[in-house]
Amino acid sequence: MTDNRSNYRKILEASLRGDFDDAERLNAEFSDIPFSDSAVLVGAVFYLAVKHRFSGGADHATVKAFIDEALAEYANAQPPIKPLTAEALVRAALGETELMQGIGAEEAVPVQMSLVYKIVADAELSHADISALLDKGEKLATSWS
Amino acid sequence: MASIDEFITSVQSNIEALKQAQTSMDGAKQQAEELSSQFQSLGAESMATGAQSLKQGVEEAQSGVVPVITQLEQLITQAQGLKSLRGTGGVGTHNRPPPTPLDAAPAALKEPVAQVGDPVTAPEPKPSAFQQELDGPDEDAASDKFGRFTQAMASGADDLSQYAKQITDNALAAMRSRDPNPPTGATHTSATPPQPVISAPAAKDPPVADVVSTGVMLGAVTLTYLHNVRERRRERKRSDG
Repeated sequence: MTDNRSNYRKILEASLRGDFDDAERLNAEFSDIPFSDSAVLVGAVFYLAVKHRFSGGADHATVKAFIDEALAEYANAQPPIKPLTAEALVRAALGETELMQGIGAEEAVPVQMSLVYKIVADAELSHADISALLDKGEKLATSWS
Repeated sequence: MASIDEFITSVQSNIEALKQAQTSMDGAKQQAEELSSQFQSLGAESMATGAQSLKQGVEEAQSGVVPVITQLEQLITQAQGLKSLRGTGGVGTHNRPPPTPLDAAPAALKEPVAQVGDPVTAPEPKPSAFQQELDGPDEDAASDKFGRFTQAMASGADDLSQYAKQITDNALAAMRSRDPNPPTGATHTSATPPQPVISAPAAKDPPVADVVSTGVMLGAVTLTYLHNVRERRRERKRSDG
């Protein structure tokens, strides 16, 4: 595990706990973290969170309902979350990987982080659960490298 | 550690010292006797009577020692009696009682007992249902494929690394904006980004809300710029190909 990825984990963990002041402070404090560390870790955690959310089944209507709900909750997000980008990323994690083509990391990371936060909050995951999710995410990201 | 034998020896030495004192008092008694004889021969009857009184005082002192010696001798007898009780669990022995054999102890007492200074180890918390779910295998073909696309996406953004902090800030701002209970009937916004406002704020000390909205607009402008850069790059690749 690289220091950069470990540092980005701290940002991600603080934000998923809802401690955004701490997350912003850490983001300002750490030196630039390349996307090969940040986006890959976010992608791994996103993959695990989506698999958890749709462990009971993932037909198109279920995915669409999730996206609609997320877009309503993030109605005040600026820049706004693009519905098609959000849906493509979720469906990619569920197996339709090709839908990710054409989406850049700069677009994917904010959407993925926002959707992971929704999944974590909806599931009322404890801090220990969030930590376990990030542990597994780091492990998965490493296996991809 | 003291023993019964040591106690007996100590008392015996006390008795010996007292007997020596008795003997040495015989010397004083004899001197008083001689004084009495001298005063009597001189005709000093009152002095002779006084000397006799001294002799009697010494004799009383000597006789006073006898019961002390007797008492000490009785203590020796008592101590020797305790020696005969040793090993039978009798009260008053100076030896520790033999340890209880571990086999005879109740099962609960055979368990190791934590002592002060032992390293403290917190009990492992029971994993939650979510953590048990995470324990399942995930490094399968599907995750590998998603991983390959994710890595390709990340490496394709290397030239945007200077905006990494800004993009994370945008993500954090979006997460922070989440309203878990949106107004009923709320619909998501369209994919059309808001038009950025370029005019500078007129107020010298702008309200906080203005600062926030300006930051949000700058974030939107950044992402719009990044999107345009990426589109131009793709068009260039297509025309090159």
